[in-house]
Amino acid sequence: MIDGDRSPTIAPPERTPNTLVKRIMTEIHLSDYLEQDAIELDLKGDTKQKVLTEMVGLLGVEAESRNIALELVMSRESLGSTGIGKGIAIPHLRSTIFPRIMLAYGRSSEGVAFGSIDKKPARHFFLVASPPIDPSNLYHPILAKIVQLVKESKNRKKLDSIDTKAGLLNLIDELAG
Amino acid sequence: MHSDLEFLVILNDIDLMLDDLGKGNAEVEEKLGFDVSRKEKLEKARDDMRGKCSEAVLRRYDRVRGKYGKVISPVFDGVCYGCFQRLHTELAQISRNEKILSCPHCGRFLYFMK
Ligand SMILES: [Zn+2]
Repeated sequence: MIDGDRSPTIAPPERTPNTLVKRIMTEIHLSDYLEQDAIELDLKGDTKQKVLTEMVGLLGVEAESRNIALELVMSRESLGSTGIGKGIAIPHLRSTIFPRIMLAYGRSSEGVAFGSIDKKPARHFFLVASPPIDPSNLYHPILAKIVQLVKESKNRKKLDSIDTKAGLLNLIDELAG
Repeated sequence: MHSDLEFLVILNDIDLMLDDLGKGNAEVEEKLGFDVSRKEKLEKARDDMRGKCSEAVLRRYDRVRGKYGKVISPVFDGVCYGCFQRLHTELAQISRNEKILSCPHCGRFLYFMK
């Protein structure tokens, strides 16, 4: 009944042939979705809500849509924290207000309590925003690609050492295409 | 923006999030390392949002949602992206979201994008 107008989402990994997963993963370039203006290397917020407000502000959506984005990103957090541990959070949301998939990256030197699995403060934030219908089915592969990138401690160290936005984009290109 | 329209967009996006969870996407997210265990919290957020909408608008919302999952349709360049039909000139010229308007072709609520 409610399926009629939704494009099929990507099949769960176990039902997707490995070759297809690999192809999707190698064809996705995170830097294609991350604008330089959507990077903030010195987040000021000292609470989850404040940091998420800053992150949503980086997306460059119209002011009138920012409340919507914030409300939705907080609703998603109510389901369970997107803090995946090791100082990493990957808040994500889908909404009508996004014309295409957009990413934002923020870094906080102090870190903020984020309800992460390992209870450690989150310092690196990757925000993934997508339209509700994403014909190219990139939402989950993009989330997967970011998770893959931050899993390695040497990559997290590199994220820490970057001091310019252009440097961050180059690093992401180097690490995750 | 009309406040009811803002609430409707949020309500529809939360409803779609809940639909998604029921479609195996919760497992996809869990595999990626995300916590999606507190579905009832999201249902509460949905109910809170419904509480903010007027009765009349909710009735319209529920009616359209009986037909389509996605009730809010973005409009780009005068085209409804729910049914991909062109809106008549008068509707298409509206660029702000000050009123709650429906697509004359498919009935979805319109959200005008710049
Ligand atoms: Zn329509």
